[in-house]
Amino acid sequence: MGRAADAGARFRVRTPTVMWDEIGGEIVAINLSSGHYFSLRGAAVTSFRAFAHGASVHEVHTLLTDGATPAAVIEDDLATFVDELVDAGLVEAREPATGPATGEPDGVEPDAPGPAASDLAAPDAGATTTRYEAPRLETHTDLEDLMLLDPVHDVDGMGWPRARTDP
Amino acid sequence: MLAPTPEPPGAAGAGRPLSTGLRSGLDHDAEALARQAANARARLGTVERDLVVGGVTIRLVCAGSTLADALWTAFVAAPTPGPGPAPASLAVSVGTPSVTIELWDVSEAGEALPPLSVLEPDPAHPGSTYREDAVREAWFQPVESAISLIDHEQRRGWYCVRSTADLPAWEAGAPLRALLRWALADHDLHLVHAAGIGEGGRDGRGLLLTGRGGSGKSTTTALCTLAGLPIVGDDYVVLDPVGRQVHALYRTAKLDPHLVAAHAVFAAQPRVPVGTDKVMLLLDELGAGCFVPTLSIDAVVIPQVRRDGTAATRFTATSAAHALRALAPSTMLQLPGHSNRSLEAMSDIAAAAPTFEASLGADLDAVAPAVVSFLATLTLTPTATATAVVGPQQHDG
Repeated sequence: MGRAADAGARFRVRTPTVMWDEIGGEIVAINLSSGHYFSLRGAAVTSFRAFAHGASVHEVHTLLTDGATPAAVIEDDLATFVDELVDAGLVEAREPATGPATGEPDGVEPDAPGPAASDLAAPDAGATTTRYEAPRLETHTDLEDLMLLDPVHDVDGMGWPRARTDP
Repeated sequence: MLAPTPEPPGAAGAGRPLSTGLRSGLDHDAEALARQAANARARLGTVERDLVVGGVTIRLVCAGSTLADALWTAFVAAPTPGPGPAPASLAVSVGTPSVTIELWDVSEAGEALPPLSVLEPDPAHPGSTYREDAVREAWFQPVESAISLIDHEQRRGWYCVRSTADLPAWEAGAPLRALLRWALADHDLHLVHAAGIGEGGRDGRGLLLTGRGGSGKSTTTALCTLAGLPIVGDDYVVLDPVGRQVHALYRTAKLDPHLVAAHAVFAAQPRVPVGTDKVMLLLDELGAGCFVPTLSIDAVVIPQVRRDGTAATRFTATSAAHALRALAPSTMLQLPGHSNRSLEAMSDIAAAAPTFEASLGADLDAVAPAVVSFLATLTLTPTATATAVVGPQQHDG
């Protein structure tokens, strides 16, 4: 299990820094702070949507289980995926839940439209697959230069901050 | 060949909220800017202009003419208060403004800025500063030395720059982007990083061209303008997700200097004298009468410059998610203060309209005919939807 993903861990989407929407069976997510954007397909859609609605790692593991793939494989893949989501700044850990291990956890507010957490196990066209596939995060960094600007400091005589010119 | 053109710096930290329970300081900022604007008007006089976008009237009131002269060239022709007929292509009635934006050049007005919360640097988001509270949004752009603040409740906005002479080309070429985005969003209209071109007369079909800088969007738009196709804009246009339409706002196009130098038809055009780092042309001077206020969105197209030397331009069906990836990130990273609705609006369009990639060939003369041919295909399938237009459909230029 990865550093961010013990079985009971739950995550929240880092809104409003992160915005996302689901379209045509894919999720497009944008991190407005890093300038990176992301594509999620297949099992990644199922997993991300479930996390956004408060599901635990254990619950998402259950969603991905196909009856044939060893649980340890899914566990490792999911841990890797969670680490990717955290490293990308898309999600962050919630405080440890005090509620039940399944269903809608206590104090958890869904981060996004879509099915309630209690409905996450229901098959969803375009998201749930009958054959296991590892959830993967596809990262796009081609727009990050839009975010790389010099910091500002000091003000000039007319009250305007000045762009830093020193190295 | 086509080559990338520079993009303006973006809205680092966009959408970042303030801590709950803290005063935003924007109430103070708004009051201070209103006082400064009044002083500037009293000192310099005013020049007014109305923008009408999708039926929404935005009144610009500029203190003095220096800043107005620099910025207003970029806007499409629109009816202005006073005598004289409005341009036929944009003949819409001007009603009570939905929002009034006051503008001034601080150095010209001669009054130093008071301390403003929006000017306070934020080490976590150094590129620019975006602030919001329940009824206001503000953005400081350090490179442009420009402040934008809107009070949605008062329906008033303020925009001031340190010096008009220091404004970079991208600001003068597409001015007031943040304020216009915020004001239009109140009417479910969304300023997006895209172009809009069409065919078949002023009520004809239209394409939303989207993609990051260098994708060939501006070149395609300019070539189609030269060919006389209707157009609503190049770099930023206004999306109506409910009406599935795109509205005109700016008349400028940014082109790669090498492209302009290589083609006499571009080189001969008058340029906007706003900078030296890129070539900015006025699209309505490239194609007389080409500008229309509105086009329908009958497809979303993602241009891509072909690097293999192939001459022809081809259109190939692609996914709605691909279209959203081309449209939403570049829009949201360059403009501050997006809400979930902004993304939903773009997603709605990408889901509702058929989506294509356009591989732009090396034969620039063939691009506009390829677009016309493609649009004709859409016309022949008026019920086309993202699922009905099954790909790949290719149309050689």
